[in-house]
Amino acid sequence: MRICLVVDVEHALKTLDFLNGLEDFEEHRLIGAGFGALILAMVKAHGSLARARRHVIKEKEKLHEYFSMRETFTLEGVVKSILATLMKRVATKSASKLREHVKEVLKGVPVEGINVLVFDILAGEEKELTTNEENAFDVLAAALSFPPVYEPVKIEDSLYCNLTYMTGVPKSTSCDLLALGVCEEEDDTPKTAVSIMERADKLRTSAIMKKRLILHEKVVKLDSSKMKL
Amino acid sequence: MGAVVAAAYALQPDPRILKRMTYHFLEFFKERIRELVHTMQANISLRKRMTFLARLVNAVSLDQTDFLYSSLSRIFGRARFSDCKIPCSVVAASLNGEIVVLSEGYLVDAVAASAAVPGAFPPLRLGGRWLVDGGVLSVIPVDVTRQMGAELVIASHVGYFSPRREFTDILDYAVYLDDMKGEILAKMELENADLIMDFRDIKVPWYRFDLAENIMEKAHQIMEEQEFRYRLEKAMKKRRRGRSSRRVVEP
Repeated sequence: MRICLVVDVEHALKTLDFLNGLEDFEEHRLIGAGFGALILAMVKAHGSLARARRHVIKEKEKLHEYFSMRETFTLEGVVKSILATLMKRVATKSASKLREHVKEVLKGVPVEGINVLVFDILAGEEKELTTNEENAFDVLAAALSFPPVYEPVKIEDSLYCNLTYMTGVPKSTSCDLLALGVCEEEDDTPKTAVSIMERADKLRTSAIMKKRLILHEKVVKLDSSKMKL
Repeated sequence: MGAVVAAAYALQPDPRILKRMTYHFLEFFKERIRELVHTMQANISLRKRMTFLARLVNAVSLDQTDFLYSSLSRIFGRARFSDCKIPCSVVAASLNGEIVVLSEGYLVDAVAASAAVPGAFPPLRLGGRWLVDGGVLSVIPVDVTRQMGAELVIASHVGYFSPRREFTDILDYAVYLDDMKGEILAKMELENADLIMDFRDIKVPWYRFDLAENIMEKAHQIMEEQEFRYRLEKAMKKRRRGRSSRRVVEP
């Protein structure tokens, strides 16, 4: 069975528990999108689910700081974005910085054979990539790259970003079972132009996601409420 | 913009009047349109760029005037949905994520809400909800049109999107990705339309009102090229056949 993990950093422990609950999870073809890709890489780099879990608990603050897609529009985030915009940069952090973060989390191990879903921003569609010794950190960085924090990641002639930022979930043809991290919906009213733009952007992603979810036959929802990092 | 055109046409179903109104609108707001194009292109000095960014974090929209509402008031005045000669509804998106279909009250309120591009124009409060451009949640509202009872849905695809690998800054990159999301959403919605008119070749961003005349000319050309009339007749025949065969199976 092809199982796709579409989760954010908040769902890390729930995702590891989900994998633990699967009978012989290595028998399935696992694919990761967004932080799901890094979870698969961490499991392989650390050798087992239990060790990956310990690593997640130990490094929780770092993981959150590097890879959380939430709260990008805090005052600090906005100030950084303004400075980056004035300096005519496309993100507050470079793609090479993101690559360094990935390398650090994986203790420098270029994990091979991880199936990753990313969004190709030139072709305008999702793409599945598999890590190898040469491209592992780049492919994983591509899966995690979300604007306005990170630049898109260049691999060969293509430019990639985080699939979950673009479409929320992959196409139904990409997997047989979707393990989806769900977050509480925001119900406050945004009050500034930048927060209204951010909300509209998220709403557009969720509109695509809702249409795609109807076509997915099996979906397991992993909530973050009980097991936040 | 779909809402503006639809409501204006529903009020006065005559393309010549619509065209005259468009020219009048363009002439009257020439200066403000020039300012809008300038702001949206962010082709401005560092000082103005700072003002632009300050507005993003301090105000509800980049446009600090009531350009949108006042220009639409000139078109719609105090006309109501009930004044429309053909049925009309307008789609907006609430900031809480609902698609809101407006079909009663003043046209200007509904259209201003539906045209409030997030960040560029302020959201409008209607019926206890903050509303913005319906395109946020539904780029081409084919499903809404079906739910309203339309038997034949003609979808007009005007999305402007062109792949590129260079971006000037964060905003440029974010807007590029948002346009790409719009294109993905539009493709999904178009699957349920009976007839699609594809105007994407015009390649003009939404704020270029100053190019209206060229756009209309190019649109006519595209309609000829895509054999609109022939395809419309074909779609209508297909629809009629579908309707008559449905009647046969009905008890």
